[in-house]
Amino acid sequence: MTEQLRLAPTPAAEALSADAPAFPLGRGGDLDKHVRVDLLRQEKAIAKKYYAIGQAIRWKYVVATLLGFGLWVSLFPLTMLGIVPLWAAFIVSYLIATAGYVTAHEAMHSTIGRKGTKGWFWNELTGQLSMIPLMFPFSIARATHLQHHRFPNDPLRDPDYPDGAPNLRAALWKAWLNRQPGKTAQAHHIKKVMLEQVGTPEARRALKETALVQLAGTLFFIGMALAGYAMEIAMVWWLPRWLALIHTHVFFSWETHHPQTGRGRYDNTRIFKSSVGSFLSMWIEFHLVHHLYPNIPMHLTKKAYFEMKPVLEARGVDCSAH
Amino acid sequence: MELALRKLFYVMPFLFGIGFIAPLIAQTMAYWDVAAPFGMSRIAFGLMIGAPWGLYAMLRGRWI
Repeated sequence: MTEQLRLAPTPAAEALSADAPAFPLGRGGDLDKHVRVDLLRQEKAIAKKYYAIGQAIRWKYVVATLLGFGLWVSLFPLTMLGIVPLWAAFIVSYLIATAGYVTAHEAMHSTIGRKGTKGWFWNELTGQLSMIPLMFPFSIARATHLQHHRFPNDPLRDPDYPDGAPNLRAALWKAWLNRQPGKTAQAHHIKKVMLEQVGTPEARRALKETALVQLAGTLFFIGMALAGYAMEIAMVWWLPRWLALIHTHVFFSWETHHPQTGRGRYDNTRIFKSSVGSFLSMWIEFHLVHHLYPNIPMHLTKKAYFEMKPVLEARGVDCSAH
Repeated sequence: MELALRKLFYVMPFLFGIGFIAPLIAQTMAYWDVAAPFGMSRIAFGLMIGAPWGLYAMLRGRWI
């Protein structure tokens, strides 16, 4: 049925065909209800399969986080002792901070362990450690990300909405402006969404944690600089963090939801070719699969997408990028 | 507490300018063996850049 739909000619041409259906079957919004239900069933079956695969290998995210965090911490003494050159530490730290968002992202969706299970401790540990290089508490990262999933592209309710920009150059500039201390800061929008839209005690606590973590982090930078390690801190934490924040906001947020017009299940994000390629975008090019089924681990969304592709095409989703 | 934090965050760019940018400039100059102009010490030169830059960021709300 899916293949028939995918190849379905226009309704006018169908009327001339001998094996035309009794009523026209179009794409997307024109689909008959029974067809939509059937497509959803197929989608869910594929998602279930990849969720199970993800659950079997979820420990890999914990191991990756522990190794990455250990390596990141070790960069401080290694650069201070002159064992690792600063430029090398900068590259490694930038990659760890960027990849850390991906492992934290799995923890945000509790794919490593749900609350009340044995895996919960590892889920939370993965989330907390992964976000330290970005100097952004896991609590606010999770709260804002889950809110983003509820209201993608909503100007008032999506915390990621300020990442929007007309093109890549503007998105890079916006990512810089959004991290500035003044009125352009995305923090104001996040605070407003957390207080006025989410409004839970957890959201308030997450905001307080954010303020304290960023204060403590900045004081740590100053303390280390005054102790004579300004270059080491700049190259191991300050600059890589900046670059990683811009990377995550531009290539994980802006590019995935550009042009931020759709709010429906199948058009709030897209399938696209990343400006930085599959590896540096951490396979986020298949972001639609993630928004449809957030519990499929990010690195499996590519495989899940290719299996789901005929179903999505039948839905009317633009799958031309991959 | 919240008010104190808000005020601290307001002046943070200036503190960052003198507490981090200035020593960063001084230590980078020392690393590359560059002397400060006009017979100044490197940290004084760093403060000459870091302090006004931090003040600018504090008042303007952005670093550039």
